[in-house]
Amino acid sequence: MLRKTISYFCLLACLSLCTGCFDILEEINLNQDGSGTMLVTLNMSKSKTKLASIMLLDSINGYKVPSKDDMNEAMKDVVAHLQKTEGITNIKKTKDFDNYIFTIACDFTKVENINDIFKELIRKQNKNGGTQFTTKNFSFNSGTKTFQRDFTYDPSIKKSFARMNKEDQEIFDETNYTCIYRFDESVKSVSNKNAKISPNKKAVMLRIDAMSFISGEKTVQNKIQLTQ
Amino acid sequence: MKKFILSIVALSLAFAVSAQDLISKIPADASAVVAIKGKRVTDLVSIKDFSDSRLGQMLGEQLNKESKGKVTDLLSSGFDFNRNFYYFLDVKEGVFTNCFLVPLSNAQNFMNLLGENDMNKMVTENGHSYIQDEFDGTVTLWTDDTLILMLSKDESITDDYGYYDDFYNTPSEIVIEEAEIANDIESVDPVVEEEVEMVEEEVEETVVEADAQEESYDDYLARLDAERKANREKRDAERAVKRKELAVSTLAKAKEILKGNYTQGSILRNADYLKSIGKGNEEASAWIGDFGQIYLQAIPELGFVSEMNPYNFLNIEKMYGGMTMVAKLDFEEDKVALRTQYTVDEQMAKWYEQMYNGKFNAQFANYLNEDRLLGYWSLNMSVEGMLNAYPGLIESLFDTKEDNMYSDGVSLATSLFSILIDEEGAAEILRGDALLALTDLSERTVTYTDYEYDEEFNRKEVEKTKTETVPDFLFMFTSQQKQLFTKLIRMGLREGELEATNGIYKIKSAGQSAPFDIYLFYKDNMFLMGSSKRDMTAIASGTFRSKLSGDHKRHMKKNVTSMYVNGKKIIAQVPVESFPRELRDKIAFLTKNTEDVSFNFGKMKGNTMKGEMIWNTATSGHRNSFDYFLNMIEELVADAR
Repeated sequence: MLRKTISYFCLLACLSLCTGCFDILEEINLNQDGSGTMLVTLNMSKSKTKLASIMLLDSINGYKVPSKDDMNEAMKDVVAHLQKTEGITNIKKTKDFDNYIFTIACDFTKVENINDIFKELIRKQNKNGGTQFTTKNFSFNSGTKTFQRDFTYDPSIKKSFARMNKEDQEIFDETNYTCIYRFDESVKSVSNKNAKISPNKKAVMLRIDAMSFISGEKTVQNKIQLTQ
Repeated sequence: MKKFILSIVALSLAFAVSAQDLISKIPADASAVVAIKGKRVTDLVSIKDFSDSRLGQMLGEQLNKESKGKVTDLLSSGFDFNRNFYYFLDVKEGVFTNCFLVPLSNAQNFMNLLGENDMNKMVTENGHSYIQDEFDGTVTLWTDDTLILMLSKDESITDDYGYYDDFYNTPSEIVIEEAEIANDIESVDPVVEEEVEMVEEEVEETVVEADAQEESYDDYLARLDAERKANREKRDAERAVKRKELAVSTLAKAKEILKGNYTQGSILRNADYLKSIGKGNEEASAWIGDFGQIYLQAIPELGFVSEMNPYNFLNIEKMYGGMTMVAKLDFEEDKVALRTQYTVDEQMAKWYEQMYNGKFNAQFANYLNEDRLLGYWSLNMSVEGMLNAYPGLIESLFDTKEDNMYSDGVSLATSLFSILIDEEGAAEILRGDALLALTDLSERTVTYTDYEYDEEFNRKEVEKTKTETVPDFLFMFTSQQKQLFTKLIRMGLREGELEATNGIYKIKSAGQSAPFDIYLFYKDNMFLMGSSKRDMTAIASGTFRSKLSGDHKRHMKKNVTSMYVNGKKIIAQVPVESFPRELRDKIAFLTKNTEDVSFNFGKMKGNTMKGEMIWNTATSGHRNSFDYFLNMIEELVADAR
């Protein structure tokens, strides 16, 4: 009882003092034949003090706090799902509980394989939540040399955010989503005005803050035209 | 003679005032009474000022909505806020009657608050009107100057629990037959669904065959359904009769309360109540006469859970018998005080006295500095007293004076516990006094991983730093077992869990799993654990500069537990970005208007224990503490509307 009291006394103080934010990185290296590698990184390092506090609690703001074992299990599930997806190979995962950085990488034989990873999940969400998210998020036309990142904004994102309590909403204040796509060929043009082409013309980076994404002001939708 | 006449006049006036006061309508044997003193509250803030406040406006809007525009604010609600409001609980023969007594200044205005359906049910007779809802047991009865709102519940009228009532009220031979069938099915391995289905079919066939001579399985189910339906209808009918009886008695009781002519007199004849409430300068008070009687009446003797009811094994009279409580809420000029007092029976008082007879280590105060202190929580109990008192206390609580194995079992266990435990030895490890303090807020540089990108947008991990504000804490308790801690520290060092540094020991893994480092050491019969290396090193080397007021030292020493929060300092030191967004532009207001909060719970004196919570309020810009809270609401909810 005493141990719990001390923990709560100090942890609640920490929780109210430390701010929270995180970054998501989506990186794709695309080969000429449409195959490539994908790396997704969740970096919560900036919030590690707060997360270390949260991890000592059973629940926060009515949500159950997952234990390290829970997170390990979740990552195992993701890997198992990837292993079952056609065209996905060489799956690697890393987890750093000191800095709260988690990555999953895989090779794909064609970008459409990546769509297959999330297809079922998105279908279920669309069916249960009445949303209209596209199940085709990545495509590459080797004939026209066009790489496309699709995304259909659904107002339910904004509604879900509005339903969250203010403390939870503040988590997204300094959260960013970064997409980096690297190619063998040079990039001729990009459709998303927020995307940047690297000086050597072989990569495109799009960094958007979570609040703009939630409000629909900015999108990850992008059509990248490579030189033929 | 002049004095005599003046006395007669004063007495007559007092009688007239008392007759107007609704307290005379509370019976002497009420179990609990809550009073809100209207005049004292309106002296603090007038009803007009309250109506004009943000909170008053919100209430007005709600009243306006409820009354469909007939009542626009509190002033036109018909309630007389200058007189006293009361609530009392009457418990008799398992019937709990909750009664609110509300003074009215204008009955017509109050009626504007009632809905059309209510008005259609209104009955007027003998100078009063009433509305009754038989189903939920409520009676709303009023005259020109008094409103009585009553809610009665008979604990013997149990709710219908559907399946459970069906099952428990089904003739026993049917229940046994069903249970046997269920057991047969459940005994089959449930893993293979197909197998289960096959076995279920076999079981059904077997049952049908076995009962075929008397009745088919379908007939059996139909009979069961019919019997259950009949039972349910019977229960519903019984419940309806009881509800009707309760409604009649509730209405009669409401009328009796309106008259207030009790043979035993009003609560003003109750010596315990009068003694507990005293002169009464508070704005609100609550009194509970006898917890034991309330608990006994609240626990239904019958019902399907009776055998599992934990209170069957507990001696309620021992636990709560003779226990009374009084709480007083006082809005003073510069503080709000909530003072409570508990009275327990003499035997309980003896046990509590042993448990709370702690000795507080005065040295704890030497390691606090008030200039930086944000808050503390002290505990002043006696482990030896607890271990001595517990066996007797537990044995007594389970002594139901009936022949049941639980009381014998508990008695045996407590005797064994008493023999095996060395109370003095245990108290040497943990005496029972402890102090947890938030000693400061300090800035800590934390590193985090970020990414930088080269010209090809290849990412490179870089380590960046940022400053975070984290609280420093210090926890201390008295222990005479130095050897025990020396051994533990030696083990920690050997296992690499601890790191020695300047006479203190750092828990190496703490900084990784918690947002602060943790240091510990043993000194002068004290175990100390804290997060500030600077403070811990200074305490260990004897160079810590302490500063603590006599008031704090006295609170820690005299009370069983004491809590203190330095609100002003916390708000001033917490970084602005740590506040919720909507409060960030109000930090200056909050800093100016936030004061200390303290809570103290005293030791047993005779058979009473006293508690006190004090919320200090800023005086500048506020007429009194009640006005302070209205102003705080005004400021803090301004944007939320």
